[in-house]
Amino acid sequence: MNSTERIRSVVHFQRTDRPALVPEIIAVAATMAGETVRDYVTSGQLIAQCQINARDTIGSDALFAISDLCVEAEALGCDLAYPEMNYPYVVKTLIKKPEDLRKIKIPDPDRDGRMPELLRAVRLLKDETKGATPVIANAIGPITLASRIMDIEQMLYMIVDEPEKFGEVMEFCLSVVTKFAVALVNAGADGIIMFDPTASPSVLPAKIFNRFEVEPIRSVFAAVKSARQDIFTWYSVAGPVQTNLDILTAVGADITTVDYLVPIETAIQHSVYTVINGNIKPNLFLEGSECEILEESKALLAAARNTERFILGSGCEIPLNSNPENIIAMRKAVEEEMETFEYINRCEGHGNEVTILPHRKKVYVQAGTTVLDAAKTAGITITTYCNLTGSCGECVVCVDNYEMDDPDKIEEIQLRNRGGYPGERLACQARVSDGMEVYVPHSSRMYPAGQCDISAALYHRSINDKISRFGFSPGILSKPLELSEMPPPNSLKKWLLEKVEGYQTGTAALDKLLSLSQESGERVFMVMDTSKKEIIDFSRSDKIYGVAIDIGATTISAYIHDLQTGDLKHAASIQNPKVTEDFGELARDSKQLALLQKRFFDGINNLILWFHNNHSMVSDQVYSLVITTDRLTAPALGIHRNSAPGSVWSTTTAQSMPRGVRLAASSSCRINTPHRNSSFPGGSAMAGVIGSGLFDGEMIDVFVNVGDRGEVFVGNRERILYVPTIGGTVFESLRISKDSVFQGGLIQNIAISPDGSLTIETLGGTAPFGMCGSSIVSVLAQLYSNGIIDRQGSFIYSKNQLQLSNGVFTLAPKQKTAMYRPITVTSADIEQALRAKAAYRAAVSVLMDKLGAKPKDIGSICVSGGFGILIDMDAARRIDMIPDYDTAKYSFVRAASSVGGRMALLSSAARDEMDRVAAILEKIDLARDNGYAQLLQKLQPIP
Amino acid sequence: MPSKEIESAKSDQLTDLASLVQHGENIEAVACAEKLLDNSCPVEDIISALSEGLAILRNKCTVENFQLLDVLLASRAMVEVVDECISRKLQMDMDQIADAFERTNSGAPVKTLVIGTIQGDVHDLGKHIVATLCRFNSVKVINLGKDVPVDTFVNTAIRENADYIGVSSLMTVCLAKIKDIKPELIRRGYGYIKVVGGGSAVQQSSMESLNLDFVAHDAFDGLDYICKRQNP
Repeated sequence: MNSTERIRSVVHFQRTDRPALVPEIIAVAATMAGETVRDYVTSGQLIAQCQINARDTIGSDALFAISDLCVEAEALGCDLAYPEMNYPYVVKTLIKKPEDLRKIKIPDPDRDGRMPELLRAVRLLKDETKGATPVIANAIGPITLASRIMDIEQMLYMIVDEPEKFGEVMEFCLSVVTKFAVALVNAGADGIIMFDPTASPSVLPAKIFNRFEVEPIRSVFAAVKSARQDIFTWYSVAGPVQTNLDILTAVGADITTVDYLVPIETAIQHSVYTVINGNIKPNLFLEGSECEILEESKALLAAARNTERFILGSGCEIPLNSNPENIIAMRKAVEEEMETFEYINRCEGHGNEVTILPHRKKVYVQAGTTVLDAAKTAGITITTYCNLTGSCGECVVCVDNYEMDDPDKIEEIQLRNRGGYPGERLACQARVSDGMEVYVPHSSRMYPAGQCDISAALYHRSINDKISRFGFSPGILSKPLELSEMPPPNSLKKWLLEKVEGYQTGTAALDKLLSLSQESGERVFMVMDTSKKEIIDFSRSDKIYGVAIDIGATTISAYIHDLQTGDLKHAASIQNPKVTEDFGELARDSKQLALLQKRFFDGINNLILWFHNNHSMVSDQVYSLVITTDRLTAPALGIHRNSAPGSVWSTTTAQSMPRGVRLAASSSCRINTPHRNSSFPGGSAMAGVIGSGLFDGEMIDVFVNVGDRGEVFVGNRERILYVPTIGGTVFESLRISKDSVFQGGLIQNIAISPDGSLTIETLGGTAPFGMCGSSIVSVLAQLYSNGIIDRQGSFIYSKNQLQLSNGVFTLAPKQKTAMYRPITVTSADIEQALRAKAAYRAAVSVLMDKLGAKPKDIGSICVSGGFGILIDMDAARRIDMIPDYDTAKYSFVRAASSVGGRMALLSSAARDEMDRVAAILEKIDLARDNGYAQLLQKLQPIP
Repeated sequence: MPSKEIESAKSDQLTDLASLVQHGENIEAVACAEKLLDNSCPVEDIISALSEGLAILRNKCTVENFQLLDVLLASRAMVEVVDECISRKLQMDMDQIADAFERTNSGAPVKTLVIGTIQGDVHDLGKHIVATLCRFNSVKVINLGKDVPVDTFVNTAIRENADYIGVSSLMTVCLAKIKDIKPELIRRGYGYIKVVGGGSAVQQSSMESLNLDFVAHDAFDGLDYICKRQNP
């Protein structure tokens, strides 16, 4: 393998002949060659020469055609100072207010400042290496550019005081960066690295990074990828990224560099789709010894043995004047790593043999590898959405009769909630054993778009049983149309409507057909809306996709389905902008509303475009959208209520979205959203009811929706009563760290031994990060059964309870957490949680009374949580959050509202079912119910 | 209004002021301070409300997760209250304000800090925050700005009879110059002046190798060192 092949393999998460090595060698290449930094940064020729020299000395796998981070600012007109032996810096900023930008032109990469020199460096390096070593060029982070052309302090004030104005600055910076980046790609760069020091979490809070920087970065990366498909993107940010993991997940770079402040295991564990590059303390290259660097590098390589997603690097630019021997030590570490037993054992014939079924692919992996990674080594991607924390439960595989470690508590709950079939394990948690065979069911596989040959009858497992109740009828169809038969334009419509009897079509679609027919090719595909009987579009490709979007209190999740097969293609979630940007309950004035609307759709677009960028799907092929949300958020989407009598569904198309909203979908995309008058519980809750799979028989079913409105539904196929409770608000707000709704490290369970020592289990088994609302259920149960709280929730103080003092129970002291903040439960938290659980329980009782139902009449009791929430049903019964009946069936559905939304996306019968259920729903007002208030009091203690 | 109610309204407003500062609401904080002054609230009370706001914020900051923007915004609100409101309204000059700070901070002896970013480095946001925080803790601050040569640090410190030199750097390549400050002070007979370093590059190194008396891990850490240390 040459260096280019090696880096490309890593970027595709494939195995390489040796660990890849890319320290960030920028102008240290000049000091190594005895040149001045000033000469280096001003000459493309010298950059190329010194880079080649440095690569030959160090044996690095990449060349950096990069001078410094002031190139764009200088091309815009900033004055720079050029010290002889240091990087240039801005001496005079360019703007004070955004209006100043109007006089400034976007620089021409071929003419302005030193941009031409950098293009030259790229071309020279490209010629010199003949493609054997990748040439990396730099596109500065848009927010870092902003902090160069204006004073950083003024910039931060502008972000806070006048965010719209700052938006203008960012738009400008984005254009500058994009234009230069595309020019660098066209000059031949193989990779674009974005250095973005100002975006460091040490400077920008997560909230601001997510609002202002994520989208511009993605847009630059999308632009360079569309300039040349095989380019790889690279993001380099300094500081403790563990405080904002969106940097690793939302930015969407092929490679992400993290510096020494981030433990490499943390970075690898918290990222799924990006290669991690790093990380040694920069000063060690100056003050440390060869030996220290060697040891550090070896430790990094050892820590990353279980993944293909790693490139050894410096994590930060290697300081000027560093001793070359110190850099060479990194290469020595690579050589030594290849001699280790563990590394050799990765190769065929060594290590544990694992066979992946039904493909019968054999791989050899090191002991301790997860089944998921083993499958990935075999080229089989198993679905997972939870950053490998075990919380999504999507990666189920079957491993009959092999000796393996027992599942941990989280996996056990997950498997039990699924029905506890023997042999099932979560691929992300289970570790391989030698000689084992793993069956990967179709439903657990993630297929790249365009590789699906499975019939529509096989749906994604978790909704398989339920959706088969409704059949597969997404309402959008794609059919081929032979162009050879096409008549002249004036009789086109007539011909078409004869061909597809009973259908209508519009001029936009006909125009599209005409323009497609003028290109080469024998056939096109008609996209048809079967419910409205309309041909809505024509396409070169037969691919049609649909997206089910659920806007929850804290999270927006999107599931992308192939509408020809029903297969799930991708799912992802982001935070609800309402949470990150403090929109309050809902924006009141129209300007804020418009902004919120834009944020919602930006979020939705982000989720769709992620798939667009990373797979061969085109967002234009999205033809159907089902959006579910709560009653208050629905109007904020700007979709007018236009449902037919007896139906909850409002329908619109992407074309008729509110002003200023553009959807990353075909313009003829159908958008369906349940949306109705005030007695309606909201689309998410309705979808939850459908997703729970309950209420289809004579028995009385109970559905508790632990979402923001905390609805409780009790009823059967004839009649369903429901109430919103305070429970939802409490569970959702309780202890949810706002910056980390869905990631590893959330506490799921605790165990307390008689001597008072405490073990905590977290999602993914990483250092605890915080506590999610639902885990308070398990924690309460544990605290009670270990005598730390009494029935009323008051703490019982005793000598050996070291974690307890002054009404605060410490689950993890700050030294042991990922955030260096203690994680505690206070008596107030416990009281709140007890109130919440009493609210659910009381609501169930009152509704059962109203229906005259007795425990023996209860069929199923189902609890649903949000995207990342896992509730231990046993614990929930123990603390009497839900009734504890011997005869009832208990189940837990993760994100029932998403399940329901997906069912509605894939089946018109499911949409009809929602109409039917809406008609038999009755909202019960408990505010004036005295019995309820008394019951709340009575049910608050733990039984 | 009976005087008891006025007092309680005033104390509510002081609590508001502390919370406004903590949240960096500069405009509202200035308005609130103006109202307090109109009701002839003592300057010392206002200043201690400002400090209280900052104290709440500091408890939210940890070394691993220093809330730079929040601290910056709170400092801005404090500066505006003092410079735009107190000094204008009561026509106090800088020295009088410094006296008021001193009285509020229980009369601890005023210390003098000479602060700057080392030569070759132009990052001065962090240093600027330290300077503001010090000012509000009765430290007399002489801010030399960025790109400051060793000689300027030493000469200014000697001339101003300083107790501390604060030096920052974000660039590892500039660390070498920081090493020269303390030996130069010692050579000229001023070895008792303590040299405190800060900034991401300094934090990668150590007190010993940079010849520093203290390495501050964040702005509050540096502030503590300067305020709590007994004078020599």
